[in-house]
Amino acid sequence: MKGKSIVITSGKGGVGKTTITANIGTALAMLGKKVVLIDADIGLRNLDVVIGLENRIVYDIVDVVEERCRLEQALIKDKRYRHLFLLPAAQTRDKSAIKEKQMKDLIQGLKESYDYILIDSPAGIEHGFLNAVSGADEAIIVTTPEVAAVRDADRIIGLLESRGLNDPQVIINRIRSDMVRRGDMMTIEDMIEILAINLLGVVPEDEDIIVSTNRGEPIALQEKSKTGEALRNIARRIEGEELPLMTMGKAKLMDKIKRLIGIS
Amino acid sequence: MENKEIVIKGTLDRLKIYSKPDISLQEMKAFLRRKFATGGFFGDIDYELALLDVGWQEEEKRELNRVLREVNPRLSLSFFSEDDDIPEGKLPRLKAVPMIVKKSFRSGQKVVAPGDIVIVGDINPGAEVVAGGDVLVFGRVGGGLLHAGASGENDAVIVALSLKPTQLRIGTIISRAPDQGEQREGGPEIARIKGKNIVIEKF
Repeated sequence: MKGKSIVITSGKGGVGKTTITANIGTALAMLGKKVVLIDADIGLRNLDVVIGLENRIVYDIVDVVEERCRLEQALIKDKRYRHLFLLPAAQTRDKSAIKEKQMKDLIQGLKESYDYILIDSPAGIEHGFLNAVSGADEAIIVTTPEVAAVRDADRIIGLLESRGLNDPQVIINRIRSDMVRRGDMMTIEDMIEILAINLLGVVPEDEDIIVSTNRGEPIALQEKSKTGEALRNIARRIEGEELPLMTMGKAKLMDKIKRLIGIS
Repeated sequence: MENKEIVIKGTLDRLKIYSKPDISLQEMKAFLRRKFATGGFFGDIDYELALLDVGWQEEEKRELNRVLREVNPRLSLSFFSEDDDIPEGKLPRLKAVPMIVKKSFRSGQKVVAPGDIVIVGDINPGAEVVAGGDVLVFGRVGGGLLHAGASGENDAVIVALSLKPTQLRIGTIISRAPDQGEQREGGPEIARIKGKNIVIEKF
């Protein structure tokens, strides 16, 4: 088996890298794929909490590279899907505990037995980011409809290119269709025009995400959730399916009238 | 997981490393590198380290010391022979002076000591406490990892005014918090090994 490694990164913090990683990973596992999620945010780990596996951590990625345990010992099996694994970050160390070469070798080894290796990158463009991208075949950039986040995403695209990671794809997270309609938020088209890369998916702003991350149960597991569906669709697109973007609720009649008479 | 051909034991004044007599220099070097590197499990504490002399040549002893200093400049290795060793089974528990820490531990903070650890403060999720002996917390344990008897003592205990850690380890046994929020009353509790499990009781 020859798997694919994908780094999920953003530049800016707080745009939802970790939540997206946990959900896409879960959604790919729901499709029957063998998946490893790597938390590359050493010293500020969160992926374990978001996916609900924090209490199972015995060894972490630093233990693996410093050869205190074998790789298989550090991989934590998910509660729900037996093909989904987490390689947690160390919390009491910092980014310098791992070198790019070590990360590369580690991922190379994992690619032999898994379909997807998703790497959750830390925010920033320093050592931790460079580690996270060093073993990746492809990149997914997460951004939100804010000028600052799009700026940082653009910067990241440039950095990835200079490291030979071409054609990254973008996920636009936390979009609010009501605000876009009122013209108070950047539209998807605005962002794609600036970034000039492929759109992998759009995820709406959703209060339920907060509940699900706090509980450690990815929202992709919820059959009826629109947000869950958006995330599952992203996984299917990664798998090569061609799916149209979901429509984000119908424009309200009042909004249309307001726009017609020019008071919106 | 553990290389059972090499065993570390805490004694009165130092950590002793025992190995089978026909161990190779390569194996021992690898073991020292793995166990005692800075930042590793045994790497962050100060203690004397003694290795059972299974007939090492002077040359080899220097080589082992060099390897150890390479991974952890604070440590050096002395050698002891089986004759001056305390008989098996009568090894006293490592009686280092208890470490008393008056502060709370936040995520990413870690304390390691060869003997007992007394903490006057709280333990937050993401913090780690690793003691060769008992762990006593005069405060609230709201998460984090507490490890008592870390050099393999299964009779160590963990006591806290409120005990809700992410993970507990005593000696060689690991237990984790239940996945759904647990509904235990507050109040002082003690964790110890009973049979093959870690049990938490009112203190």
